[in-house]
Amino acid sequence: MSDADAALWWARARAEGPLRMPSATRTPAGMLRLVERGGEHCWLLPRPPDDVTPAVLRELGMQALAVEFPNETRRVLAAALRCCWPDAQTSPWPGQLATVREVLDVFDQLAPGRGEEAVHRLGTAALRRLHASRWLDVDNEARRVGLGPRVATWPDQDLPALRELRGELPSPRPGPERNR
Amino acid sequence: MSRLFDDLLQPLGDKQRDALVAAWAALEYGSEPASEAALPALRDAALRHSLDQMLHRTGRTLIHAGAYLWTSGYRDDIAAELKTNGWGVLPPLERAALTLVLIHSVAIPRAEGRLAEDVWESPHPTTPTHLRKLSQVHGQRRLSDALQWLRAAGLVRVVRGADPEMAGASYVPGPALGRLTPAARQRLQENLILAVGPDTALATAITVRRNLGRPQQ
Repeated sequence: MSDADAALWWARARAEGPLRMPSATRTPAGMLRLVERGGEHCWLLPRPPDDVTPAVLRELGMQALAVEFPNETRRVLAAALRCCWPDAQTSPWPGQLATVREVLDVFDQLAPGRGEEAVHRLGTAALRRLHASRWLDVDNEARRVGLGPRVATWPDQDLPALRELRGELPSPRPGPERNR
Repeated sequence: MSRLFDDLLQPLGDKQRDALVAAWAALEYGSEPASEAALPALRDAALRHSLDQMLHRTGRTLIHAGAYLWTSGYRDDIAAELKTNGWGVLPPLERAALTLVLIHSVAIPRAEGRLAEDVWESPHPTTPTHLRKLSQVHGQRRLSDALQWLRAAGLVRVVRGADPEMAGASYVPGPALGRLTPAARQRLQENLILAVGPDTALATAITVRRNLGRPQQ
């Protein structure tokens, strides 16, 4: 694959987000390839120099584009990591599927006392944002949540802190859905 | 480490390498332009050249965003290829909503002399009256979704309380407009003329020139 091809792949991923392609697609230079469960498709994501993340902006006194309802969005991502990352000694991606109910139940426990309707409304909106940005993979028909390909870009040096955080989060409480 | 940047990063010492990577992150992730004052790699001409090469390899380019300020954007040739392939192109409703914001916040104030040439940040809000009452865009819910998408992409920015007649958010162009190259800004300016004055002599001149296939990149 030529340099010109790599430039176009990178630009396309910038414009569209992580790219889901047939597994036969060659990996463009500098991109991360993640094969999906089943093996028919893979995700292609840009791999930044030295795996630098937007966290560096804080050190520089700069801001990233604002996320809407950032606290709710972070809590729902944390709840999904709690439910979909069963073995914290392994990498979080691809993890396992959880139900929407389980994720929203952990979300509810993280900021209790808001009432069922508010939890559902705020949680569903955050799930939609996290699905659109590929942090999560939400199947609304099957009511299932999986981790999205962006989770695989979490730098290795940040994983110990993430593991610790995951360990501190509550488990989903038993509920009517038991169809894992 | 990423193979794509190896030959540019490996010869550098740790300090220079960190400076280059930090500047890359500031340009690519920051919502606003990056300042030379904060980033040595933007001040140093040799490092800035390396930075531009890094961006070039990923379909991007360095863009001057004012005195001592820099940002990054799509290379013109790459933007044309993305468009040809339909990759990352705005869906019709999002495009319509963005066009309305550009017409009310940029094109009209510019035509009235209230906004300078080639300026895309505007203090003139596009109000709910403009977007929902006077426009021909139908479907309030879908329009709200489109505006939410544009906000998340940094293409519009919310301004509160700008409309005495209708409740709801007003909008101005967002920071992503600052990532356009000079050629892309020129193309957008021409497209606005085609949108708001399709029967004008200026629009005819633009159409004729484009049909002649003269370079517009």
